[in-house]
Amino acid sequence: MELEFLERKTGVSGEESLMTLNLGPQHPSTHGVLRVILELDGEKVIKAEPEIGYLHTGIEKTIECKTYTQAITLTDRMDYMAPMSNNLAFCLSTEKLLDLEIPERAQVVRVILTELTRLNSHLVWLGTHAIDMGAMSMLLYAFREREMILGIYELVSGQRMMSSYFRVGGLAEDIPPDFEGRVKEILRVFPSRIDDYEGLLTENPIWRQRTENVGGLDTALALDLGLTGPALRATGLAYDCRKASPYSGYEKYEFDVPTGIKGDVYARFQVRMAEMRESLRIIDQAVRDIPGGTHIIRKRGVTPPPKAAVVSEMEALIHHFKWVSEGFHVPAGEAYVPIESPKGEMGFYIVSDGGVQPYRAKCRPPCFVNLSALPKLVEGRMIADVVAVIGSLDIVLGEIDR
Amino acid sequence: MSPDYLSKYPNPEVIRTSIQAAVPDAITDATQARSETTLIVTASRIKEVCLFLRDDETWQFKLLADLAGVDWPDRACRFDVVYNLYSPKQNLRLRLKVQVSEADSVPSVVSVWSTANWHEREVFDMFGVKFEGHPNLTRILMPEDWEGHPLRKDFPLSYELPQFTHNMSDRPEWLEDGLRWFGDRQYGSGLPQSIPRQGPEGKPVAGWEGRPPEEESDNSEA
Repeated sequence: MELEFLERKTGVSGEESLMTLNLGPQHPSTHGVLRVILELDGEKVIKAEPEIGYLHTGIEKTIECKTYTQAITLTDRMDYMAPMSNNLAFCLSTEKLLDLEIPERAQVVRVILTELTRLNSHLVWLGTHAIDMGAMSMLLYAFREREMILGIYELVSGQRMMSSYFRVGGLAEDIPPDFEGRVKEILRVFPSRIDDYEGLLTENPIWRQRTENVGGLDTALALDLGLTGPALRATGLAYDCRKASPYSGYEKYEFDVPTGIKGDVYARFQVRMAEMRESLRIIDQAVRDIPGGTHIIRKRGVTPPPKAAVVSEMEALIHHFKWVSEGFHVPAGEAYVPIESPKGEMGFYIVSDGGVQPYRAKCRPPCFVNLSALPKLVEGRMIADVVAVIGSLDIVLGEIDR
Repeated sequence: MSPDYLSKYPNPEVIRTSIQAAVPDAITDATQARSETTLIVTASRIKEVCLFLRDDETWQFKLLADLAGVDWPDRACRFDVVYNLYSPKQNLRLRLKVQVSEADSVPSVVSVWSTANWHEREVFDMFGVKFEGHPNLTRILMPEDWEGHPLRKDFPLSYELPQFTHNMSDRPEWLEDGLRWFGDRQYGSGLPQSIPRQGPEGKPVAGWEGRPPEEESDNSEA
């Protein structure tokens, strides 16, 4: 009866008729407000077209009327699963324009925190990806461990998610005394927990059936589609900005860049799991010996004077007032410093006109680019694979729409 | 931050000569600032240059990392379209820049790198730069029926046009001003002003009236 109705309605016989289906914008497996318009032949996807822009808030436009310090708070809200990585990308480009030398202590703390951010982001990816595929309990475990990382965010910045802890020139404040202990607690707990996750999923036959040989691609196609991060490394190319163009002293740490072969959903899963272990390795090396010294470079006109001076010296008070109310001037020019965010290559292309606000700040959005590859990955496959592929691309709509 | 461990860029003269041999007279300028190499490419030749850079045995710029637009409203060729390339084989980055006026269009590079598809749509959406030969040049972030291009410098920053309202009688006067301002491109008639800013030569950017630009404050040295 339904078939007859469709035939009458469309004028196409039942076997040939295609069905258009909206996946999203309100659908838990789209990880935000993403809408994918699917053209289906039965359960087979003929055409997939992602529709984005539901979360567009004009962050790049807003940054143009904020000072460099204010703009850092906006970058948190892009990829809200990895706020520290966004902060770092923005700070590094600005610091390149200003030609600043960042104190050793700030560099090491930045590395520890951005690696914790990678763990944080991968944990959310793991939990949500698994729950999309029906592995319910994974989410609870992943969020239990994530809580420890959010605790460290709160410890250093007072905020659990929108931390805005990095500043141009270093860090907003020095790390509290129990920072090291809390990080070491994570290093103690996490390895066995990651073993647990792998025990639940890696050899699980249902998980492997859902992910192996799904959404695979080769390196040439991945590069053509602009994929970076774990999605590119799963195809076998070890492109990692931490190795290709080390920033914040990454050249001092020993770590491997995990790669896959097939480039399918399962390979991306394996690469991210291995990356979590590598992140722990980096944190372990970094936290062993956090150097002393200042947490922010003291440069007049760029960073605020120490608080103790502000309350006792007139000059410092004036300087502080000017720094807060006016901001600091950045020499005219342009700079782009790519970093390896949990999602892929991320960086800010900042154009300065010599003023206190960026003339233009263009984010290189890894999620945006990775999502644009979705049609190539799912067309010709089953509809259930769409959910698996979206999960494996690890998208955050806040950054895609900006 | 010493430049030797940041991203590596090719020598501007070397890459200019290399492109010159394959695509003559396409590069108008090659500069290096803060260790980053920028080539200014003639708009009509950008696709040939990109094809050469992608396929050349030496360079192999297989990844188009990013594509950005920049608006300079008081320049004759108003927009910069900035291509950010990466070569995994050489571990080199390169920036190409195309200058284009509001009326002209840039050849699309979607056939060179598929990833350019969404990037070019975004630049079109945000700046109104037209890309010739793009398979589907439609808005991507803004609604389809949106008027104007948000990242242009003359697009109002402090106020968003209501797409729909019942309260026609309640609209404040400045909002009417804003609508006129928007429709006719009359600058600064009653809209809340944002902080004025300086153009590339230290002049105020056209359309950014209000508080005059301040003197360069001399606080760079401790």
